[in-house]
Amino acid sequence: MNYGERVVKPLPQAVRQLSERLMMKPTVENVECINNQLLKVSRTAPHDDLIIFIVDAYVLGEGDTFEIIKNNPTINTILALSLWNQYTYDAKTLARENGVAVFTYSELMGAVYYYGKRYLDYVSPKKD
Amino acid sequence: MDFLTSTVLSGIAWDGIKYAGNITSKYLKERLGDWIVNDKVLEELASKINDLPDAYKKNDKFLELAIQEDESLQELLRNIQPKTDVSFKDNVITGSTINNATGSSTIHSPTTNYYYGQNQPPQVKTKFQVKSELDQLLAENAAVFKMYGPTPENTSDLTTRKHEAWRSMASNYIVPNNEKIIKLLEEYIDLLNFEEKIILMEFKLHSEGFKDNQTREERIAEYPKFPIAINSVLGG
Repeated sequence: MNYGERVVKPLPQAVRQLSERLMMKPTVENVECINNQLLKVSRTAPHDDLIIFIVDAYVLGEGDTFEIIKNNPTINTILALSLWNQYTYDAKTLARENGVAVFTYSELMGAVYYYGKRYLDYVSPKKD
Repeated sequence: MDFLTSTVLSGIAWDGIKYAGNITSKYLKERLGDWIVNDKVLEELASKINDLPDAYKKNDKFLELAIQEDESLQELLRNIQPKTDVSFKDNVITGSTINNATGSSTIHSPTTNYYYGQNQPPQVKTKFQVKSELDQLLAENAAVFKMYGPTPENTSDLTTRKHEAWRSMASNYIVPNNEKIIKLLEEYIDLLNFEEKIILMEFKLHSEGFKDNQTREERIAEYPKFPIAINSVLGG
């Protein structure tokens, strides 16, 4: 039993599902797996391309976010992929200050329709 | 009048069953040296316990229940008296220790018959009994985690809704079980070696954080993860 593992690489099956879901979006033209943790999403104009760094993080904190951005300067999105994943407010704020969006899977599925600041600040509508 | 209880007998019998699958009168005789019991009764005890359904031979608690419910065994037990040189204090044998099958722990067993529903004195458990309870609680937690937690199998599916049940399941099952584990191991802290006491401390810190995170809208990332070594406390 190892619940409590914090930030690890996502499972390939989950990344594959993610790519398939993204390809179904009308704003997405192509999804390229640069590696198991890095996706390039080409989108229709005027939507800019997304370079997504994918993690499986039970809780993505500020420290890990800082390290990810420092080690991957070309990314503009960090995705906490697992449905159990969460990120902290501080992580989101730090990333936004660096022009990087932090999303959960369901948030990304909504944010992918937007670009620029609206993409960066995207928040999922609340469920009833 | 004090006589041999189901608890004492089940503890001794379980120590034998878990290693050999059954018990013999010779085995019982060696471990009931502080009791007045003849060979014929020992034979009957061993035979009746061996004949109990396998379903009751899963752990010491089930075995104790089976012995309590077997009227013929209870009749035999009522006639087994302690030897006179055994002294009693607060219903616990203080002049006698009964080594269990591993030789690693002792039973200080209450010897008064307490029927179900009456107030029972605190019972001192063997190391094996404590380990069995610990394993049971950890197994329950593992089952909940496997079903609803972020296991690789669960997280690889982006269409599941198990994550929506995870918090309530964790709060309803894992959190209370963690508290039981801590209470149990703190009560029997003397059975733990130094490394195991450190593991218990790590488990306590994890448990507090895990509990807190279940009620937080925003979890705290820095709480320690589950110390896997807790599974091997009191022997793997």
